[in-house]
Amino acid sequence: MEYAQLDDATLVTLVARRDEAALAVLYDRYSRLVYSVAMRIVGQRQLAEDITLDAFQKVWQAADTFRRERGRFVTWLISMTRHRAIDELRRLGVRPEGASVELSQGIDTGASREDSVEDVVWLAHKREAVRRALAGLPQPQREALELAYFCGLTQQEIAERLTTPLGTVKTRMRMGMQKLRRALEEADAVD
Amino acid sequence: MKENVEEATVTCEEVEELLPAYALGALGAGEAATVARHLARCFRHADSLDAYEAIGDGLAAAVRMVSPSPQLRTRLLRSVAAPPSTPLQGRRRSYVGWAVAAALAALVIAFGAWGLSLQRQIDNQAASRARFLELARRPDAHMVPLEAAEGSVAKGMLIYTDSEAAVWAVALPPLEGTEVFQCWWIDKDGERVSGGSFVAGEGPGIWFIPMPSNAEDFDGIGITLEPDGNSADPRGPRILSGDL
Repeated sequence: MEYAQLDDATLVTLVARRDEAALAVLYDRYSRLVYSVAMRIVGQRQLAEDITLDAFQKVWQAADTFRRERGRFVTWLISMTRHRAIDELRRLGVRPEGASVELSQGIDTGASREDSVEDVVWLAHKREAVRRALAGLPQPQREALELAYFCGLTQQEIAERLTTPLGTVKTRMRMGMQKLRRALEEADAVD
Repeated sequence: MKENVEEATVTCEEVEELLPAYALGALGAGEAATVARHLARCFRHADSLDAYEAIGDGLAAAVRMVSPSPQLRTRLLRSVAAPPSTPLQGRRRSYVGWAVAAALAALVIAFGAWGLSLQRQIDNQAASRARFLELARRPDAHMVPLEAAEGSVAKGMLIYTDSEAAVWAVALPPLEGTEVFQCWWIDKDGERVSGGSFVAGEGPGIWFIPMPSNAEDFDGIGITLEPDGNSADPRGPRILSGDL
């Protein structure tokens, strides 16, 4: 069986049966994405590697709790990574740096050595749609979203940090998310 | 819907207003708990919540990609490697051994036929996927999202080079009788040239279609549902289309 050609959900099922080769393929497929998200949040290579390792160990330990009908594997993986990274930020008492996301260019799917069809299709679409949608947002809206997602700040914390009224931050976040939602739904031809 | 909870009263409309920030984890603890309680009892917001949470995936996918050290893979696989098994002693070992052997034999018999069938399916799927990925990795490959026609929920993507093309699609409508899906290359004057037909079952699929020799003359692709595989021009409804 060519594991590298199996879809994510099948691989997770195999991981739940303690198949180390399946875990290795998932790692090869998503380690760059996971590590990149972790790096974006914590900004330290060693810590980002620890977070990446932790995320895949959680996949190993909790694969049997993954339900494909509740969403994509990569959503689950990114969510675990992000929460762990933000927890680390808070534990360390690190004040998050500037929020601007450095967006990649070109059709880099984010998958590494062993792509899957789903990776190629899904990530290429998401990346392009988000890049276009973010670029179209007014800078204050984009800043509010990125401070929340990548720095784990609440609206109140964002308002304090930007010395902006809380109501303004709420409006910016809501409007920015609504615009991104519309943009993604329009572009979401393959998800 | 309006509900009374210990600390706060919240309506569906108010929850919809709060959902974007909730999905980003940007609400304070009190507001987040209020929304969570409402969501646990009211399922009207499931689609909205899914949509806002999907934005997070997109934000993650848009960051600049960097690679971890090669050693990290080794660390992971070492950390999950099974420890060597400890042999059991005497009668207990013998009993457990026979029990395991019997269970395995039963499993082999029960799942043997199913396993062979599954294996063939996986092999076929794997071959198509490998070819699709090979095409996608070519430096001259283009990726074109295929948009669903009105009334269709199908989704798809075309990958093509000067010499080869592949369609990935999902949620195509079920076929009946002799019906097929047919690809059409569309030139600048709106003329259609058949790109071949295919049948599809449930779930996502990949189909390879030949590129026309004068590929530069075409600037669109359409996929229609045809009554049979003999159409020289489109006779059925359009399901998917895209601009090259």
